[in-house]
Amino acid sequence: MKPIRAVAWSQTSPAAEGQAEWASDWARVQECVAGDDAACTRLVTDHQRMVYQLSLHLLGDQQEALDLSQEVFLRVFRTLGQFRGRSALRTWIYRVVVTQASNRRRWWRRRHQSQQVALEQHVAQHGDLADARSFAKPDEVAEQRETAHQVWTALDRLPFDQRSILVLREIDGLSYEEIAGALHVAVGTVKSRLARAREHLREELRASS
Amino acid sequence: MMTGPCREVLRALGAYADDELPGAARLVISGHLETCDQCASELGGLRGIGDALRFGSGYNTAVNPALAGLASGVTSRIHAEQAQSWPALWQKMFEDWHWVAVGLGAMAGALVTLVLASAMVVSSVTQLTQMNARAGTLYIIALPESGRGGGIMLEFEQSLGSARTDARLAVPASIGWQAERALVSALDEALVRNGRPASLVGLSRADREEILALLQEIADFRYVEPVRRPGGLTNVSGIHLDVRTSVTASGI
Repeated sequence: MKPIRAVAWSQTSPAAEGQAEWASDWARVQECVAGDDAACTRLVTDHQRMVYQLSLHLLGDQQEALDLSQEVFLRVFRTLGQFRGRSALRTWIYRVVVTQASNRRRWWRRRHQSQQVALEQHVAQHGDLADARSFAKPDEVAEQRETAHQVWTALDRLPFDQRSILVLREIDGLSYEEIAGALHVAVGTVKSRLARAREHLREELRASS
Repeated sequence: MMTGPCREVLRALGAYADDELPGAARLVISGHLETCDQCASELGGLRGIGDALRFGSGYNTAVNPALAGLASGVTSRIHAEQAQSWPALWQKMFEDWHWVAVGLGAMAGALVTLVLASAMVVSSVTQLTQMNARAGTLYIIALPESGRGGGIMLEFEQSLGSARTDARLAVPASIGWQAERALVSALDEALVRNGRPASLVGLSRADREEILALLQEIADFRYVEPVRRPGGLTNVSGIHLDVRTSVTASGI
């Protein structure tokens, strides 16, 4: 791959605990910018699962998630020269995913009516349940399925910004600071938006029950 | 009933569940939760939502097989985009000097075409200017009857207004100037159409005969009266029409 663009590295240092990750990210970005095919491939393979899962949770459709994953990585490589290292590469990619998903969802809504996804369909799209659940009793699993179905149905009804922040926190397990970086908002905004999203979700659950 | 401490705890319960509280605040809330069932229930509800989301997400399942070709697909696409980008095309051009030659040849061809087109435009403008200024020259040559000595040449510039002046200068006043001037005026009118010199080639037979008659009458004047020239008198023996066709725009 030919060089993408020269990168001026930011003088801003990240937190000390992220120093190793920061240095690793920077080295990888430099390799990709220099046109190293192997580095670009590693960048995709290291993040593709995260990107795909987040896309799937935000869009709720496997094919859409696959398409979005490709778009995200294309966007990442096209704009890699703009990466300044003010956040971790992973957080930066999260931001690209959320932005692209938001655009895609907006585009989708303009053309199609939103569809409710049944839990069976959701599970079929997302694959089997986690290994830990295989130790639960069948009736417990059924109850968990029912609860999950209600929660995911309610989540589908939330605005995109509330849905995305819940997914980033509850499923991807991002810290408030990472979410702030991914959504390009302040940490205080993350707290308030997360609280509103949870309250909204509970209202939806109460309304549905 | 919700007490003051409960309100504070509930406000921070989300951050507590997310493990985003500093140690001291976390200890305070932990202590409160041990004694307050309502707040503990709220915490359970929050965590239950998170558990349900994670349960349905299938986050720990195997990666979709379609992702296996994602990296190669993305890098190939980026390769293709870079191959189509302007910097890549520019670099490719210099890698193959034939493209440079083609480019220079095209530029040279365009330059030559431009020069030729400019020359044609300038030439056309010049011709148009000449056509408007001068349509031709009518010479009337008067030869002495004896054949000795030089002849007299009456020159008519066939442009508007000049024929009369030239004729006046060429014809001596001593040979009947008034009659001569009328003939020359008639000749001038016969040679000018609509303010422009007429084409002698395109004249009708009647017009030609009229012009020849006028010329004959002018010649008759010279037969009767000798032409006064510096150094002596010369008899006119004949008049000839000589048409120069240097300008062709009007057919002359």
